[in-house]
Amino acid sequence: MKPRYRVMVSDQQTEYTCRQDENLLSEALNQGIRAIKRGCLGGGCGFCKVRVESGRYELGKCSVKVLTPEEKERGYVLACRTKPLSDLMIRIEK
Amino acid sequence: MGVMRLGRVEVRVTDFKQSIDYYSNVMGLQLMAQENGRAYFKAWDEDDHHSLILVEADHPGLVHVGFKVRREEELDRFEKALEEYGVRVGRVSKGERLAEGQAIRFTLPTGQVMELYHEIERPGNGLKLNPDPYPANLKGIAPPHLDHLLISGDDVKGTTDLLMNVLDFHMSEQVILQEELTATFLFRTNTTHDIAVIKGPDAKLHHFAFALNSWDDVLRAGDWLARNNIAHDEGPTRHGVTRGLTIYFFDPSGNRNEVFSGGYAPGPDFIPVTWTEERFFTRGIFYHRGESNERFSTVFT
Repeated sequence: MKPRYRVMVSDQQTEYTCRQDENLLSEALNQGIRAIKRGCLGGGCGFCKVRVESGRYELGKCSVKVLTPEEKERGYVLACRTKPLSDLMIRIEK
Repeated sequence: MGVMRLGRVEVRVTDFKQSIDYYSNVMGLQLMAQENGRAYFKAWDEDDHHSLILVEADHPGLVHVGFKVRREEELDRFEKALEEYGVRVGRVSKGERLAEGQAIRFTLPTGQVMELYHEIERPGNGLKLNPDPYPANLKGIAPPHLDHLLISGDDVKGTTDLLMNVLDFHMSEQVILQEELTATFLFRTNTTHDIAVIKGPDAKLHHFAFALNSWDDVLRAGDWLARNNIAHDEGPTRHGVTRGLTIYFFDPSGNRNEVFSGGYAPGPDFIPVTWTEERFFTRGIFYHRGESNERFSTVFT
């Protein structure tokens, strides 16, 4: 079994766990956690964009139109394309 | 004479292999060919070689939309008419893409690239001699044909005007909010829309849609999408606009797809339906629910 990590949503006092080989959005949906907005689940629409405040993660392929290199630098990710490599603190920015 | 129908959409996908699998096995289109980084699909009841082209890119969206005209020589006429209207027209040579003849290419006021063409290889639907009603090997949703697309941009009026006045599209419905033209639904076939234009970000695609024959087919499509864990957007439900029966969902790259059934059969002399702020957001978009979701209103590719 892959390790599970804690995902804390800093601006919503919500917390859940995510397996290392799962993305942050699908795992939240699986557990009935509705903190992150769900879009296309394909890295294409940007609807699930969140900012990682702390922790390590792996980011998969995202549309360059909805997640720019500068945003990536500043810790923005698409939750549907993000897998945790440690406990994470994320912020949902409206 | 003139524009016959929506012939093809070319869309960008971020994962070529996964997209080919999805359009083959979930949507249930026929993969006709792969060449030079493009994949060509047709729906089972179409005669032409393809109606959907996928091309790999770093973001999703529409590359071009192609409408098929009745005769090859009409391309010259339309080229002239478009140039007189003030639109710059380019030519696409025969063979630039697989199985296609030449086309004329121009950009709509809302920013999308449109082509008009006549020539394309015609393998047929395989149901031309003493046929059964449908092929035996269908899989997935298996819509019979491509139906329409919805594009967005600021200049709804400009694109609508070009389509109606130069290409002779007819209007089935329009949305007028605070006296501003916000969306138009236009047709050349006797369906409620072959193309629709809505106020939004320039040069973007809201969705492209395949036709289904009944409410039951729409429901079964919904079952199939759920079984395959496809990202759902809205439906199955009815639109107030067009009266159509619908489900919206996303392909693996985030392009929104729709399967659509029903509506009415308007002729060229149809008196257009108008929606205003009074009822558009409640009964116009999703007739039953009485509201639209934020994703449906804001996600374009």
